[in-house]
Amino acid sequence: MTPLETEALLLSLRVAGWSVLLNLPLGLAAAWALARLRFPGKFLFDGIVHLPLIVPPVVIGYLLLVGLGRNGWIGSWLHDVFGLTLTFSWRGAAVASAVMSFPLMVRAIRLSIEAVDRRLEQAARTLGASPPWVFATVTLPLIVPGLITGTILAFARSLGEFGATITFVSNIPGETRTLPLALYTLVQAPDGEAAAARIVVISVALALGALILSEFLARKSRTGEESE
Amino acid sequence: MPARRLFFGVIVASFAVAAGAVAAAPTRVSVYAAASLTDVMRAIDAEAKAQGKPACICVHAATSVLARQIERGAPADIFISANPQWMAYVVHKLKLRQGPRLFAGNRLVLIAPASQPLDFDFGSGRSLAKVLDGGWLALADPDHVPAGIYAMKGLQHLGQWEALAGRVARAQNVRAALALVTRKEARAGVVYESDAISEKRVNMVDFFPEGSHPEVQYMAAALNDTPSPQVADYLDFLTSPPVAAMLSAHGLRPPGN
Repeated sequence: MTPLETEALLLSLRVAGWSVLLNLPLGLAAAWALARLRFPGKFLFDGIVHLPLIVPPVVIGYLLLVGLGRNGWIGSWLHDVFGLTLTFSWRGAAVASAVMSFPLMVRAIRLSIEAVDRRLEQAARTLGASPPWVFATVTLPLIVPGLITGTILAFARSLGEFGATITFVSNIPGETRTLPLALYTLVQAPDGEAAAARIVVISVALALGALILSEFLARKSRTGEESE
Repeated sequence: MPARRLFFGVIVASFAVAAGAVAAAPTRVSVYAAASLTDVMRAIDAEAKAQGKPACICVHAATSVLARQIERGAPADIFISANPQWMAYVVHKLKLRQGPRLFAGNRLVLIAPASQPLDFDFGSGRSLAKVLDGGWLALADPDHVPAGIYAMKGLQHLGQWEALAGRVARAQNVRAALALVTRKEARAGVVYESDAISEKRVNMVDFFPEGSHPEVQYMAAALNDTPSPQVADYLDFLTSPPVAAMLSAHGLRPPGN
């Protein structure tokens, strides 16, 4: 692999990895709220969570730029207090990927939570367990397949994220030029077909790898449950 | 069944209406032009309509993006590139025999946000990277966009490029680079003079010295060796004196200057 490809691949993995790490706790919380809680404005919250799924990615990227850019509402605060700049940085790329893949994570985990037999949880409560303990020892193990599915979906979505990334953090080699952005750049260059084809092969191999891993993990967690 | 017949009748009728609408639509000239020509093409289109010529379907993007689309069969009648190389690429790929015409010229300028002026000029010999002090320099992508290629060549010629490596924000086209500076995300940027004067929120810091980069030349050509009379007429119109006046008004250089 050429240096450009290695750089894009490693950057893609890093951005997608951090995006998933960001999304896991937030996604779990949001999925729990949507599955178990009843609160005013729940419908609106559900809509906002699913917005990145239906709104064009460039729009999300632009909104991120307005809000989290150097001079955005939250962005200027981040810059002044933490010295953190998200634009032109892989951190911004990770945030963009996280936002775009959030709905997928939430949906997968929410389905899993809704499928949990409440009576098991209630039984644990009658045996004296506190709600956090019930969650940690009864609910969480039961929703592991949903967590895995959500993680893999979010990871795969982050690997393929383009529109929001290029709008929010631009196309900086080594910082934000992930595999899709590298492919886009090569497609614009004259006679970049050969190099572009190589990136396509790498991307497809990566995606297949992620799928196989998710199948493996899902199967393992299922046999784990059956043997108990 | 009567319901099914009614349903199919509606489908067929709607196709007929659509076909009729398409056939009745007045012909327009499809112009694929560099992103930096967005404002001037709007003015040219208004003038064309005033003169009774067809309106244009103006598609603006980075010259490189447009050239690749045209190569793959995009339905363009006329192509206006921001450098001769991409025009030569299109002429070669489409096997055109008609030579392209010079449409306009432009100048490259260093810009900074109006509220954050930059104290720099190319003649002083100071390092731009030092003056930027860790801030980003926004350019159109130097890998393929003409504005970025000119900028990179200019900065290389002036010995500034090496020091700037790692602080260059590559935008999809020169207008996106302008937007980065307007939004103050980038500390400075390199765009065309015509882009800089179109945006009040940025100030021109200094022009690139003459000869530091290849001359900026916009080339125009019909994408068919035997264009329709409308397209041929429109191309002549694009290289006529009234349009040359509009180019000047927008900060571009008319051909022959």
